[in-house]
Amino acid sequence: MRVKSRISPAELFFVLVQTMVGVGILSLPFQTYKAAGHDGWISILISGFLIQFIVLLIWLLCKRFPNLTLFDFSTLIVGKTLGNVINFLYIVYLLMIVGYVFIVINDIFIRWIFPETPEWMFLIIGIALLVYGCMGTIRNMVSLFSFLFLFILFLFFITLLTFRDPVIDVRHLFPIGSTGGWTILKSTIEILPSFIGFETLLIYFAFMKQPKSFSAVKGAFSAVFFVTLFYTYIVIISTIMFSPGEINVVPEPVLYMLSAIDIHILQRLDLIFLSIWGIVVATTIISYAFLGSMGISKLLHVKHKTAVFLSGVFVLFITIASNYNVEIIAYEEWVEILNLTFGIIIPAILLFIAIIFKREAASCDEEK
Amino acid sequence: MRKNKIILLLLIIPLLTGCWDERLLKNSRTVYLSGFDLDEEKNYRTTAVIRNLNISDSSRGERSVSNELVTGKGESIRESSLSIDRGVAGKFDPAKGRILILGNEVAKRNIYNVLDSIYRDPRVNLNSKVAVTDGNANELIQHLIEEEPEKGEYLYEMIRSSEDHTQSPSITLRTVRNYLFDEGKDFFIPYLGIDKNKNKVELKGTALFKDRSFTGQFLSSDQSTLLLLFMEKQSKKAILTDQIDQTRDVSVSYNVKNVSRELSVEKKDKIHIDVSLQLDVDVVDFPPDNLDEQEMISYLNKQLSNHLTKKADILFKKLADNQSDVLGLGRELIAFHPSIWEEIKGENYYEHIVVNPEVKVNVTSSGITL
Repeated sequence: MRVKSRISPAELFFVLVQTMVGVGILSLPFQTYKAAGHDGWISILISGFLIQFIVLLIWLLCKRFPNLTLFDFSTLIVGKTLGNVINFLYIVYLLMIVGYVFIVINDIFIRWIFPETPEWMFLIIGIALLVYGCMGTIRNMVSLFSFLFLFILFLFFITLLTFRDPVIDVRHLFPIGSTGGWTILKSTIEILPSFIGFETLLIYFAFMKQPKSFSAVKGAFSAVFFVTLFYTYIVIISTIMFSPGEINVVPEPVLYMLSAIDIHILQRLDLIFLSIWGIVVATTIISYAFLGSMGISKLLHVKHKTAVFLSGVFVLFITIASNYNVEIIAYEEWVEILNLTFGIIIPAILLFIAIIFKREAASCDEEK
Repeated sequence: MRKNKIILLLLIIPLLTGCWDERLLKNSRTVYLSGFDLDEEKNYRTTAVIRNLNISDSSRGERSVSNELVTGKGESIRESSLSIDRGVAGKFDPAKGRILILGNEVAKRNIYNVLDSIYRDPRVNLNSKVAVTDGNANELIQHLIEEEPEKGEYLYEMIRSSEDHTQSPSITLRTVRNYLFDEGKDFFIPYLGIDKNKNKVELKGTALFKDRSFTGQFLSSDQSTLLLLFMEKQSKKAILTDQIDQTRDVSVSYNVKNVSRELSVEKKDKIHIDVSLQLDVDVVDFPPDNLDEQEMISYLNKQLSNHLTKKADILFKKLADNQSDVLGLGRELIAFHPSIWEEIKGENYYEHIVVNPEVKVNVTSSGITL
């Protein structure tokens, strides 16, 4: 099944940034600090650079099958049965990420803003949002995401206010590189999953207007570049803001540093940050759930709306099931492993097979 | 379709109200000021001033504010605040406390034990000020309640204005933690006491900390100002006064406009750190005047530089005696001289450091001269 092209490179930029910036951002400095100490920002930069290569790899794969999504070309590469198994796994993976995001967002909202509101409340709101957000076409989603990009910029501007703080000490960044080159390199593997979201390109590339030309991948490159810079910035300000030992006791450094800023009329900046962050996370949820439902509708040959409901039910199920049985940290480790598998390893294998057996498909644009 | 949308809207609206987490002002007891002490059996005693807002129904919603002093005991801070909670009507809400006062005994032990439970509460006001008293926090708060009409407000404004005058560092509950976890930095916070003669609570200076506990020594306000200048942290105003001519009883007051500091590290048998400070000052009080003459100005520059360098020597001697690295020299070594730091690092690294301060004063403006 071919899709109609609907996204320009600029729109791909917005979609990808919205998918990537999500729940990870609050604890990112904490994670990088655990992995690479005060040199975490270098690791982030290196990871971002590696992700660019993976984006290139995904593009090389998708270029062979213009206007076909992963769900379509997987059967072309490895045959019908195995392809459907891969599709199924990808659907489960995409929806599991949504479930993970739900759990994290619930946890943070309950700890930071609403300690007495029951969890199922957030779940209902979240599922309603998911179903409503995914109902439309990809065109609707793209315009929503492009508009909501403003909120990411707003997040950036809020964090600028932390520079007023008296405890900022640039010396916390020095001596640069003292954690050792090997530690920094090793930690990039641990940090790679914070760029989670790039694997959605496997599907989004199919919607590009000119999938074969290099301009298609430019949007993706600049999105990854933007996210890398944004993350580096967040890690750097948290490193100079907190003293080395302190960051270990603060699992959400970004919120902590915001809650301390006192502009006379506003005392709890972290609450404002969280409400905007909630919107940014919602776009991550919508993006993943949309792709998941697209997969479902292709696998089961049902209408998109039915598929959205199905994925809503599935997410609800895994959220409830894992909420009471699995620790968030355990889930997080799972997500990291899955991300490496589904974002890097499987696409690489697919590309490898496609090159060896010369599997390709013609573009529908070029046929015209 | 339209009907469906309206029904959907009606279904969503109840979700927006958020009935669980509303906290009405009339039900909560807002803490305004709290203090922590340690009694003989090593139990914590929390003293708090609770502000009650009474809205009377009879006189057209007229509001009045009253203060209530409560105390609670327990083996941990949390337990002592729970015992307060049991004792007051309504919910004890420590979120808005503006000042935390640490009693002398508490401050001399690891203060993180006290602060930890406070940090864990997401509603806590991380911008509240932290101060140490020379005696019991309980006594001080009791005194405030009985003698001062403004209660906690007075104390808060006092600390704020001393920050504006560069007499105490602007340290809050959150920034204290930054120092507690930094191996290469110590800190100082306002030191309060009751003046028996004037029967008033006053700011005696700043309490010096080493690692996580109070050294027992404090700096006077003048010394604190000088130290803050050495940290390049001058606030809106930083006024210093010097008696430059003792025989004729001439003194000069000046406001520091601009600070620039240079550090140089040299390793001999010990680590020698030369700190030179360049101050641009405005003269604000100098009765002999004649400030339009170049000779007078260079005379003043020389005199003031000498005086301040002497004062700085005394100041850094005091810091060395208490091993309190308020200037953050350890951090400086970690950042720019990691090899030196490797040799001396440890709990008492400051004893390997010798500081040679030097101050240069440059009078740039004389205010309005008649």
